[in-house]
Amino acid sequence: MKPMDNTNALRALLIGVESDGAKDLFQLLESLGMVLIPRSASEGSLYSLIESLQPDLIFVDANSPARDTLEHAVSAHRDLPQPVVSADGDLQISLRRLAGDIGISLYAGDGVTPALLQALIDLTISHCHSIEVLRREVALAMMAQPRDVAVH
Amino acid sequence: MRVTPMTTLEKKDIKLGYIPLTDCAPFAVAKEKGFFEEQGLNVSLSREHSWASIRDKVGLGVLDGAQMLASMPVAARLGAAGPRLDMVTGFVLDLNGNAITLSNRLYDAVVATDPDAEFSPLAATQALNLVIKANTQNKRPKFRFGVVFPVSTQNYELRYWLGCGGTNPDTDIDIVVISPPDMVDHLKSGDIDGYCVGEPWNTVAVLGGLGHVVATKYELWNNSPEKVFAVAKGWAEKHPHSHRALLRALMKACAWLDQPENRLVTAELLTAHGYIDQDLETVAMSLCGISQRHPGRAPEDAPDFHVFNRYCANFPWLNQAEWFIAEMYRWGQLKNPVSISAIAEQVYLPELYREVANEIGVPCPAINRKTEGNLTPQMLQNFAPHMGPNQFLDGKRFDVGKVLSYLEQHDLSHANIVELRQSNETHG
Repeated sequence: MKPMDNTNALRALLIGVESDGAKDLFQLLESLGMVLIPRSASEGSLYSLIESLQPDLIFVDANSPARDTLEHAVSAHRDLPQPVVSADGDLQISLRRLAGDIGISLYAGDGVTPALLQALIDLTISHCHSIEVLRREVALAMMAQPRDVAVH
Repeated sequence: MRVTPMTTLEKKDIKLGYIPLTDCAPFAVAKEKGFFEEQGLNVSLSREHSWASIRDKVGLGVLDGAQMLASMPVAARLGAAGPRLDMVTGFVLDLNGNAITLSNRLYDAVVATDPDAEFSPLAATQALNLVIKANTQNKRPKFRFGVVFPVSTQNYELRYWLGCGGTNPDTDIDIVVISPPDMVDHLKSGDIDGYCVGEPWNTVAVLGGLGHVVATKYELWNNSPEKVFAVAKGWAEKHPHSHRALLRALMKACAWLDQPENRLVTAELLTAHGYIDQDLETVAMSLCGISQRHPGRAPEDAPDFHVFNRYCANFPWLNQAEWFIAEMYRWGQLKNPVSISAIAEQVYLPELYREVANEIGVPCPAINRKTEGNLTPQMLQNFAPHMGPNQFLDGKRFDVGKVLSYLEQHDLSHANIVELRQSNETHG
């Protein structure tokens, strides 16, 4: 799928989210017109990286040791994306699943509306869950495979 | 003695988060020595990789509670340098436990400026100030220091120490945030010139010949709170009996932990059970009251390097929460004026601690605030031996109800005292 015109596209920085499942998800987000900027979680460069890129959103591995550096990098600049950890109703539940089940923490700038945020989180969660279901089905199928049959 | 029957616990399967530091010991001891189990709780401990993650997971209910830096729940309530979340704590897990380490290169420059810096944290920060000034005059890059979180006790301690020597931490140096286990590598690579962190990461640097300890948290403010057990306010309201059961278990674990004969056992437990990825010898040092400040030299006695129970350590003193709020104003993390005492009362819960202590017959202070900076070890020999010394490095006093007067005594400060007075009329 060809990315949409991205003149006004949201720019999302991805830090340390490198699993195969996450890659698929981010391809999907890209196809919806989001500009993705993947980076590793090298702490030393995070300060200049965040300031120079000025992203609208940041997806970060919830268990990355670089989380606290990221927190510092955005804390002094309120126009940079801020951690999204409290919300009303459905969004709160989605955030809990995103952090607890999927292992992704989210930072969003003022320009990202709660409705868009909800849609993005739900998309992330449903995608990661379908990957997990698929993985479980493949694992079950492999267990059921007779051992004396060679698989080529 | 009045103890809540186990059947009334709202939740028995509890998940608590911790960071792999020496002072995660109260959680590890409560779990491994059966103090949680004794209260009818099935606690699983989740090793976390960042303070931000701990805050988020407690806020979102992924974790039931966690070890937090003593300043964190207060900062979360205020939305200081981060999101606004309602957290509460009825229990301080430990006092002291941090230190400031300088790289060999910077330490040598400091001691060359003033040889007393080797023995005196005050002389060290004053000498460092001269080294920083010379560095600026020679148009060299700023020195960089590491702390573990924007609203961390370590950030306030490093800033306080630098301020004592006349150094402005916002303009004269750079402060960066680095996770504790990565701190030593950053010092080794020369990326940073010093840091303030909890154990074992100061001992690791010194034993590795990479740096020197120039000040301990104890020397900056004797027996000040380091970590607390915090939960979301909503969780506390929904699970009052489970919350109390957790506090009872932690109270007993901390009393056990402060018996000198149990410290080495605890170091074994922390290293053998994978709570900390360091060898026994390194972790045992500070836990057993030994401080290795300089590579290759004899270690020193530091019996109060970690305090887990004595000196009323576990009591959540309201004035100590107020000190953290004062520091947030001092360093510009908070700007809008609030009632400092009211916020402290919403987050630190001395009354809850008192009720739980009474349930199990543990002695407890009858007051919720105390003056800091007025008790020397000599004075304590004559009266109040159950309290510890509480002096500040700069000799200042932090009187009960005089938060703003205390703030006013500091030259380096972003606090707008006039504005703050309007919100704190009765608290000088």
